[in-house]
Amino acid sequence: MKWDGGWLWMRWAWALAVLITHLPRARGITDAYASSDMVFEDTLLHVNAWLPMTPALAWVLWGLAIVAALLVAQGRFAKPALLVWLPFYWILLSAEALNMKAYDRLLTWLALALLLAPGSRDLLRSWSDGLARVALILVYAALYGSTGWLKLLEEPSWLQGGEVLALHLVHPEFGSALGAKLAPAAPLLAVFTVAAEASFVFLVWFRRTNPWILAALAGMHLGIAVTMDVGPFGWVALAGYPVLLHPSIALGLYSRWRFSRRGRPAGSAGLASGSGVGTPAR
Amino acid sequence: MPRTGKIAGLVALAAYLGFCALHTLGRRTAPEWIPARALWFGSWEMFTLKDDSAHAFEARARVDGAVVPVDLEALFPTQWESGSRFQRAANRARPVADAVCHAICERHPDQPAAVELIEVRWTRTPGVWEPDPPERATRKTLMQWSCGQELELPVELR
Repeated sequence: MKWDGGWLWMRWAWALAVLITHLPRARGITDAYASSDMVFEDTLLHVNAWLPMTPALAWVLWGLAIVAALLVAQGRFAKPALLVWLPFYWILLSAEALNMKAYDRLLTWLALALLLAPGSRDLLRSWSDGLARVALILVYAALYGSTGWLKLLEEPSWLQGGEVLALHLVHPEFGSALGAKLAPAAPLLAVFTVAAEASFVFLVWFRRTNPWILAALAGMHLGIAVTMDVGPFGWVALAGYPVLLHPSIALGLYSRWRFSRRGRPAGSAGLASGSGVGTPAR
Repeated sequence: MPRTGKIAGLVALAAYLGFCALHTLGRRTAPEWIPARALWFGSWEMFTLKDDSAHAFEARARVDGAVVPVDLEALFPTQWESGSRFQRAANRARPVADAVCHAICERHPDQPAAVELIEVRWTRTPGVWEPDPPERATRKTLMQWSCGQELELPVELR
């Protein structure tokens, strides 16, 4: 049997990341998304040129994106819900136009990967070509590779004292008081960041190195979440990790968990015959 | 979808993301027919280059002949995770700054005759957290805007 549970966990994590990102935007509906005096035309969708955004319409789009995310989490209508979420989410963002964040783009890339994902709600499948997982790895390789290699090639301060990181930690918008206290550790943290980001593209593929590079980058995201104010980027990025984790490692972890709960490992005759294959036991 | 179609899709995805990555690294220049936003969607450059500058915006309004400070947070209440919406660096650029000034005129309860957008700048120091402008900060008038001035909406972003 092939492990498919990563997609199930990713769907839930993705929906949670959407809620964390999108729910607070309700506060800006009339000020930012449907204001009458600060209307911008985004060069990609030109939404405000063809769709007058009223507060009522903005609330509808906002609400439908939330409902769609919940349906994705529920699973039965996950793919149609993703096809609803994509346009409604981006029409609303494009109406605001000023503030399309990196995590909005990453949420979209994850949504596209979920569209390619195996359609089953089961944790195990008899066959899987794994290509959807490869697509997701390519997205993360571009994400971490671009930032990591840009740091490595274009900004020597990352490896020479880490002043660049110490300055980011005290940015008036993104920094924090706790981040400022980390200045003495900046040289070490900077090298760690560059090494983890730049090596992801090489290490994620192999079973032996896969969990270690994911653990390092998860630690980086959690560290950023604690010491910087960059919104939900880390939670969005972590949403794809259940699929990035090597399937055989994930299956091993799941088997051990099941064994500890029921005394029967996944992949045994009972599971393969159908009993217990489905959403995880709660 | 047949497996060959999936593999072709993966190759196309890899080519697109690879080109975006090389573009980000400055190793490739995109042809003119490719819209900048098409590459923006797959390009990632976050907290990468060294920058010790910090900035904030302030505004003043002329009301009944007197110049008074404007409470921008009251007029533009939307807060992003990284501060107020009006504090976004993009507001420094001309078309957006026009719209900000125009909106101050529209939203100010005392109907000002003119407004002035001011950029406050200071230098960051590692280990020192200064979310608000310190005393050493310098101020520069970015724009003076007459409230009778017309602004055609929507303002196109560049």
